[in-house]
Amino acid sequence: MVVVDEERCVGCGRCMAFCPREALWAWGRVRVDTRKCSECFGGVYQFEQNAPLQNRESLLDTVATSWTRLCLINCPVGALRVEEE
Amino acid sequence: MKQEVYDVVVIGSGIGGMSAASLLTHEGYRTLVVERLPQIGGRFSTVEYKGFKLPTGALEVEAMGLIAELYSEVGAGFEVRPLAKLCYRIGGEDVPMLYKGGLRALLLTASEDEEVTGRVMAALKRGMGWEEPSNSISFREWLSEYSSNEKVLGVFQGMIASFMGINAYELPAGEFIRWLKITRSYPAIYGHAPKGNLALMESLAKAMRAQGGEIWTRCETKQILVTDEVARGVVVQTDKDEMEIASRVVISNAGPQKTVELAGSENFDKGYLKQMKESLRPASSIMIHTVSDRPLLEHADSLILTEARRVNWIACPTEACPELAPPGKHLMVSYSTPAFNFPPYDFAQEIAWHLQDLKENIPRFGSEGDILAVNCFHGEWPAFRTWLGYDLPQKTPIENLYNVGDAVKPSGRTGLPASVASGRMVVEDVKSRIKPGEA
Repeated sequence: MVVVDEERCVGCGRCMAFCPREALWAWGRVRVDTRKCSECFGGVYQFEQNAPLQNRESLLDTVATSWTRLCLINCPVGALRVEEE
Repeated sequence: MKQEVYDVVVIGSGIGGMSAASLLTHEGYRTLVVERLPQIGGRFSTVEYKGFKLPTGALEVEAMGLIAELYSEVGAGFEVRPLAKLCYRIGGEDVPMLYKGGLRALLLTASEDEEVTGRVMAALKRGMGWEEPSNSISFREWLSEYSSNEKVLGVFQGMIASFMGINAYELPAGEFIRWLKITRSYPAIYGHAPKGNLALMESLAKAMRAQGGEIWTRCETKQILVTDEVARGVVVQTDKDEMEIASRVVISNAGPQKTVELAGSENFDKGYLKQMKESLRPASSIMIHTVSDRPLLEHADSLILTEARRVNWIACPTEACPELAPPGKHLMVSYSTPAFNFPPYDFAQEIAWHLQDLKENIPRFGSEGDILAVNCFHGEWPAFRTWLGYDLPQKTPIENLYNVGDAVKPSGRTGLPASVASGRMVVEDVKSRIKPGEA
């Protein structure tokens, strides 16, 4: 689940534009719709695409594999992080 | 750790960084831009949301002037469609801003008094031609010596807030006069990029790559390497590796505070750190995107409000560039500036006032407008990294380490041209000191 650091977030809304599930909404600050935010593996690079599904969680946000959330990598101030549900 | 060698490394692909990078590449320097985010452009870029191409910060572009000159010089395509009409709303009337005599016409409409208009115009002329007013007072304070007419003050407040992101009582008086003098030196024709501002930045990137320059995205700078008070390169984290990149010159478009963080504050003298702490005043802004089936502005596609509580500028980019929206849809972008550009901000209240201004000034906003997004800019990602007149120099105390962008802009410049100007100034200094290929 993506979590917003409310002290770092400036509310620029870039994350909202990149979320494939429309799970983010920017209105002064960013809010996450927890019903929509899940299982999103918007990896920029595809070389890990054959990794088994049960292994992908462990690869999340690991820079070496590039499996990470689009919202995170597009945040200009690093205000988003992934937390275990 | 892998290693690479370049003449110049530029941290950040905003317009300031890309200006410096493209010019240096054009001059034969082996240049690398490292950008943390997946796409280039920073606050002069585009995101696509529900079929609309939305600006990530700056919207309108000067169709002639420093930006066009840069693109022409480096051989990059520059497609900007001019606005149909820029107006100032004064006393409920939308007054067109003419290219010649426009300011006088606005002031006459506002004051309804030839004598007041003449007095203000004469003071401005004297400031531009004889001696600039002091920066020790604000422009509003200086102007109020010539007119206390609130509508006249409102014209300048709308103008300053729209172009500079701060209020007339925050802008040093001399800075306004310097800006006015520079702006009047060429036709101020503004427009929009039909494919969005990201396309303009990608055009610059394409020209740079065609001449041997490189741009790495998803590449975060972790450190600026400094030895004996000289910049030696950077350490970056890519998707795969941490890499050390050696270079003769490092140019940072990440903002002076980030530059200090990356290079280590212990490498900067106390005077510079004190100057940075006391000078930099980030300007904040709220940008609201509203969509509709019909254009919401009636008489103009760019409108500066002079009597609203917060909103200063409203633009409908889809009038010139329908490609920015799905077929049949229209986009309106409105900007507002807080009353005081100092934290803490109450953005919930600022947004409420912004919406109230829209309801009061755009008759069909309530019935036909759908709000697509509300974006705030402040802090680390501000509308402008510092107010006009509160800039730092491009050079840092560390030899061969420069800053570019809107915290180190030359006096009298604002917005995109200011960042381009800062890039040019750095390029000229680099050329005077280092030849290409000395890496």
